[in-house]
Amino acid sequence: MINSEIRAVTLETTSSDVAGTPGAAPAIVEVRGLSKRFGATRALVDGSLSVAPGEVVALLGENGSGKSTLVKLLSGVLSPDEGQIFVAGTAVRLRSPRAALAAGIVTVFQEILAARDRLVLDNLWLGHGSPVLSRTAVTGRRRLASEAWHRLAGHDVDLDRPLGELTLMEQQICVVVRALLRDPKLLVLDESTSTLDVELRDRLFAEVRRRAADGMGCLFISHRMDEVMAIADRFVALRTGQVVGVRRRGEADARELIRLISGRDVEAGARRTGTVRRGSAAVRLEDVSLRPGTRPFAATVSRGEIVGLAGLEGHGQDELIRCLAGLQTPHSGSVHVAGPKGRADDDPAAVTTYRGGVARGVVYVPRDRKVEGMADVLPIIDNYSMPTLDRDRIGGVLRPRRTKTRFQRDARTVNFTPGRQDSIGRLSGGNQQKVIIARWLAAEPRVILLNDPTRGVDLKTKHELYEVFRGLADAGAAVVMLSSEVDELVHLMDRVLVFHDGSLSAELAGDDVTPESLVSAYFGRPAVPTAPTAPTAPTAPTAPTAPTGGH
Amino acid sequence: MAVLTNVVATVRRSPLTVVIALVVVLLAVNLGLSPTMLSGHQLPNTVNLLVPSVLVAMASVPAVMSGRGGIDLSVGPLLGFVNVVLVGVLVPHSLGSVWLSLPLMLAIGAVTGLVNGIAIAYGRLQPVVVTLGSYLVLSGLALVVMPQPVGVVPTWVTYLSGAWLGGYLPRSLLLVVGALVLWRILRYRGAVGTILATGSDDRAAFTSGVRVSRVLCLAYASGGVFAALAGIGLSVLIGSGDPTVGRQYTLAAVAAVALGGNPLIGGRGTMVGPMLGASSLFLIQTMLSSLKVSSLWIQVVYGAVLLFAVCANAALASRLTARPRVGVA
Repeated sequence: MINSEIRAVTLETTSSDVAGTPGAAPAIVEVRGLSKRFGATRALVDGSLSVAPGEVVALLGENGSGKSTLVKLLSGVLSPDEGQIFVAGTAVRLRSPRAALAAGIVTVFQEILAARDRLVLDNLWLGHGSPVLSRTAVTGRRRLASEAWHRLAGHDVDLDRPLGELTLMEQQICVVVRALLRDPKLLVLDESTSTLDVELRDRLFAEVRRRAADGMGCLFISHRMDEVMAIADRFVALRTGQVVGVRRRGEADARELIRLISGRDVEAGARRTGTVRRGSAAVRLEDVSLRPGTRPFAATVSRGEIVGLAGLEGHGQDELIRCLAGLQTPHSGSVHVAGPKGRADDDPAAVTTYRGGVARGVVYVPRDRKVEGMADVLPIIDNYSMPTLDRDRIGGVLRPRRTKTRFQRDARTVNFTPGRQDSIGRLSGGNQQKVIIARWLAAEPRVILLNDPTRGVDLKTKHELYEVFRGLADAGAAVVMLSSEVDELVHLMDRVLVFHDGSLSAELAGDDVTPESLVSAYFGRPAVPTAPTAPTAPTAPTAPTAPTGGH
Repeated sequence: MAVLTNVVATVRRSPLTVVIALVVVLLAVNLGLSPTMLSGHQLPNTVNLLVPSVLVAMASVPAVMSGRGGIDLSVGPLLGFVNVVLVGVLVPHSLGSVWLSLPLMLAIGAVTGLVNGIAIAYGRLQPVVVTLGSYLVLSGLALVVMPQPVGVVPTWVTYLSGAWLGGYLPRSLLLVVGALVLWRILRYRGAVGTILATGSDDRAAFTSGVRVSRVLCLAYASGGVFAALAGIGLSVLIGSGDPTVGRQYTLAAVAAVALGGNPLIGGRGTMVGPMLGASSLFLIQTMLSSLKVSSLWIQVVYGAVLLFAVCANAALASRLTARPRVGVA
């Protein structure tokens, strides 16, 4: 306690040095020696970082590396145990989010934090107090809000709708616009692109660049290397709570950065096997049209393959995966799923309900795991065993030991090591996803539907998940995975179904799946044959040439 | 077609549809049974009976809106306590003049609500437990101050029981108007918006710079002030002090909030809905007494109507929102 006080005092004196340094403009925000511990866990150790005006700094690290802690310290949600935060050269104490906002540090958090019952307009000005008493009156707020929204999103929004009625992506836009409306000096984007489609993400980057040209600083956090490489001027890598490296743009490629944050060379994970061993058809779509007036299409998914669903947000891929799960019915046409083993495979039955799907071995891992996927106050093992608990009943009596044995087996399969944490809500996003996938492994699925399963999951865990998915396919399951990440589609999928305007616009297979062919299909243009392009695929930063190393 | 769509959209936006329909039907039935109910002769009595129920329903609203399991069970005993303090303490010590007693009673309400709010916001205690505690404390204190119903109200309270315009404008409505003005001011200052935002997602509000703890305190304190106004309404109605009558208002207030279409999980809701909800409960009571139904049946009918209204609200909401959601084109 005394130590930390002395340390604070010494830092005060250095702060005046910083402020007094002639010539160089002070950093918008600088942190020095920031430390935070939770009980025995040292979440952040001696973290130092600075962001200059006009600079975009990427903060890289796996889940649990201290990124979130640093973000929470900067946004006033947590206070540091040690260390200081300087804003424009002056030491500040950010006791609350309100104080951080007043200092010009505006954070868009990883979760979409918004009052879903309130109108879009109220959400955009949340925390500004009454419009009647503030300088910007009601009409002014309305105008500023719709202008800012339009500039970022390229389309208008009904400001008088409850936010909860909007799509996940629009809700994400809302929290970003809310931050921009505060005219931040430092904008902290913590995984704020995970629900945005490619087009919107590019628009956001353009907006950040525009503001940076006017002197705004940006701290950018993303698990997607392509995004990080696209926008950052400088990279700060964190590992187990410590800053392990700082690189300027051009000093390091994606491979080098991944090595920095993981501390070792990471394989590309489960690569396409090259030879697709297709089994019999597991899912057959016949004349399916998803919405009134959209062109009907047909498709099949076979055992042993991983099929990606892609497209810009809201173009039909989400509806299709929900139709496959039996959570909604297509506008017309039917979804057939092959029956259980032993029955003829060419006797697929139409699936129209979720229960019907479950009975045929279809499992669905939803996108929003917080809401649809887990009971976050319950223990991990209860979250695991929920749908399969009946198997642990002997004569109507539950045998917890059996559940435990099963859990240990399936946890090993997904590479999840149960730690001391008991409730699933306390796990990192990646580990939560592993538990949820283990849950469905226990159901011995024949068709696995994954709705953007790696969203907000760190690189290392992502690759582990890819291995698991590939393993499931190899074991004979049909894997259908909706993904919004181009890298993932290119490297993992055997085939990709691309959706545009509520219908299937392209079906790409094998080496035809390239970033270029995907993006042109996203916009409804016919895929350009990609045979002549060099096999080196320079836009795919996470693709080393080494073969898959199964570990 | 376009008109119909608009009507459907309005109905969908408005959680008040069910309660308004209920009030209209009940009012028609009541007028059929006793056409003189709204005459200048009877109106003041009717309104005086109604005012405490409406005010106590209003008192429950901010706490429920503020979310985090927000509810204020202490509003009933608080209204009784205010009545007892007025008749049993202020009048005997010749503090019964309107300029002294009115601010004092409002202060009692505000402070009680504030104490609840502090325990909930800063103590991070469950609202049900905190306000159940103050429910018991206030019920007990009322009996300590005044063991039996006794006393007379000051003249300004008696004055409020009368009416202007030959009976067509009961003066007790001033209390409701006062409460509505206060609520209007809170809305105007943006406080109602922050209460609702906090109720909808307190972490979103907190990280957006809303001082969530203060907002919760304000919600409970404003509820306390409404409950104090209800206490004055009760004094107008009974014209004396009664230490036990207040308690029964609590559950009726919660019922009125639910009837009015405000979800008990907070984040949404109106002030008018619960006021109408309280009115419909009142109209059920008068209807049953006009029909000479035993008063023992009143609670049964209350409960049945409440369940019906909640189901109707839910059915309406789900039927109108269960449409396929179309993403951005």
